[in-house]
Amino acid sequence: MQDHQGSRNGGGSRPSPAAVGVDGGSARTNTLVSARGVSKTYTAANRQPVLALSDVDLDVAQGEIVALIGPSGCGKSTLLRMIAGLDNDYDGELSWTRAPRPGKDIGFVFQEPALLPWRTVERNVSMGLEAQRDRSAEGKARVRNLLELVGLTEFARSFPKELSGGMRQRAAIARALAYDPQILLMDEPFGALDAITRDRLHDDLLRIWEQTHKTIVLVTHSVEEATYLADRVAVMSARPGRIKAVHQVPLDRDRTPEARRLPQFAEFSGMLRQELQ
Amino acid sequence: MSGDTSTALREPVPAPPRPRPTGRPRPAAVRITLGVLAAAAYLAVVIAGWSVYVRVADVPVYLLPPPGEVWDAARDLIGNGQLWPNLGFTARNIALGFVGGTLIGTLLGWLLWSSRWARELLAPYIVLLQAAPKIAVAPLLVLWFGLSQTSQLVLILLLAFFPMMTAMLLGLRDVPADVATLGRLLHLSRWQYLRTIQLPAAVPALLAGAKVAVIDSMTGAFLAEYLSAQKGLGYLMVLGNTSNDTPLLIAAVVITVLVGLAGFGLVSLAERRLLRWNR
Ligand SMILES: Nc1ncnc2c1ncn2[C@@H]1O[C@H](COP(=O)(O)OP(=O)(O)O)[C@@H](O)[C@H]1O
Ligand SMILES: [Mg+2]
Repeated sequence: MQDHQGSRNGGGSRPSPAAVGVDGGSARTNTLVSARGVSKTYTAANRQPVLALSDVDLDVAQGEIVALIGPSGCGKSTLLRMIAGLDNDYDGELSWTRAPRPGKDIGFVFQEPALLPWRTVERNVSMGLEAQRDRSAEGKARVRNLLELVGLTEFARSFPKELSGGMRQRAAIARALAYDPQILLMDEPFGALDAITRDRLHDDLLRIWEQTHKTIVLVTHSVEEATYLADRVAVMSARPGRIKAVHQVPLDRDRTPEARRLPQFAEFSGMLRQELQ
Repeated sequence: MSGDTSTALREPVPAPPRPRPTGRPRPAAVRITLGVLAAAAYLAVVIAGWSVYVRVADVPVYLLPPPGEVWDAARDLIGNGQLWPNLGFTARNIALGFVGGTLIGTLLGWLLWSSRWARELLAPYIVLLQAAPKIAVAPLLVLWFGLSQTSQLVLILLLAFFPMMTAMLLGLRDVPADVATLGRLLHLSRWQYLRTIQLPAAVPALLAGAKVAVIDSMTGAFLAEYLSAQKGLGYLMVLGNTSNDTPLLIAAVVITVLVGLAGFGLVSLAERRLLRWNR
């Protein structure tokens, strides 16, 4: 746990030259949010205390994609909700370089799209702007651009019911980004989708990142998803939830589906899988 | 809801073709014509059966007059100018009671949902009030408010608010946990959350409640007029009853049913408009 900085390149992965530049000192200097000794105890229904997170340290740098991976129940959602400011009842410290403004700086994507069925796609996506009474031209342009980016321009005036599962989740991602938050938090966002749709959405997300360079924390239980999308992967262990190790992904940031066939892809995801056992 | 329509008006006409759900869409005109035809056929069968039964079984007029006499009684009501004032009076009472009951019920539902205090303080009394038979409450209302329109409206409100309150409570529970979380993430104020998330989410339940409430409002209106009024459709029924004018009584009942159908139809129409996203 304490040595997670040492293990960020551990596990036998060989960082490619391109990845090395993002690693180490440079990533540390522009930290956006860092958790120090964060612990969380829930009180279960039978009044027994449940230690969900124990002494978690994690840094998330500006503009990087961090994957949180671990067995079910290890506290991934709990940690994500803390970062989102949805849960302020914990021990330890969560510090931001720039404190998130309420309602403006946290983009969140759930496992289910959670769209409002009575609103069109466009009006779902602009929910955040509407909440802030932001009628600016930039806001409108951002909504248009995001719809374009996730391929929903034609469906801007459709209702969620008229979309496929993948399209709905794309709309949910666009909604989370429409108010230009500092950070995008995603809790198993592709978990409910079929494999083909999931792969497409992976590429959509990478495309969105290219354009926006958003900081993204992605919870997943798929080692391939973590490998394909993330700059760094934090592996968690269950009961109590801890961060076992943080690994740098040995792939270029510029990823295409071919990356999935590279030997270091298989090697790295294999290593992650082993670490999860 | 209200927000939806206003923005819909503000937004420009959509350029891209809107994809429609596939299926076998039946044109509205055809659907309505079919519905009307079916209703007419049904009505014809009932009237024919009624007419045959009265003739074959030789039922005395004071028990069940043939359809023709009821028809004449209804035409008399229109002819001697009795129908419209009485119908208008009842319809206005129903409308006022329904709208008032809907507002009070929706508000109470939200209050009970949002405040534990309100829940613990009010819930037992509300249930108690509902458990009491309204026929028993009605004379008390007349006693307190006199033979006035006030006592009639109070009775209608008493009947109409409950289904709306229950519907609101049900509807508010229909907000999915993730959507509630979204409301917190977007830092919605209580009012914004109610307006943009809770109310629209509760609309399907509220409409189901409104169908009950509109019928209950009518029941309240007739009950009130039956007990106290000098006016209204309920009064016409009393008149038919006391003057042994069975055709008049039945005509009043038929008109009452028509009013009920109209109220129900209006709510269904509202449902079709408000739940477009659900089809
Ligand atoms: N509201 C809660 N009350 C009690 N225990 C909870 C609550 N939420 C989560 N937990 C417990 O905390 C642990 C971590 O949960 P969670 O963060 O949802 O895990 P994950 O997202 O990694 O599957 C689990 O053991 C879970 O049972
Ligand atoms: Mg989870």
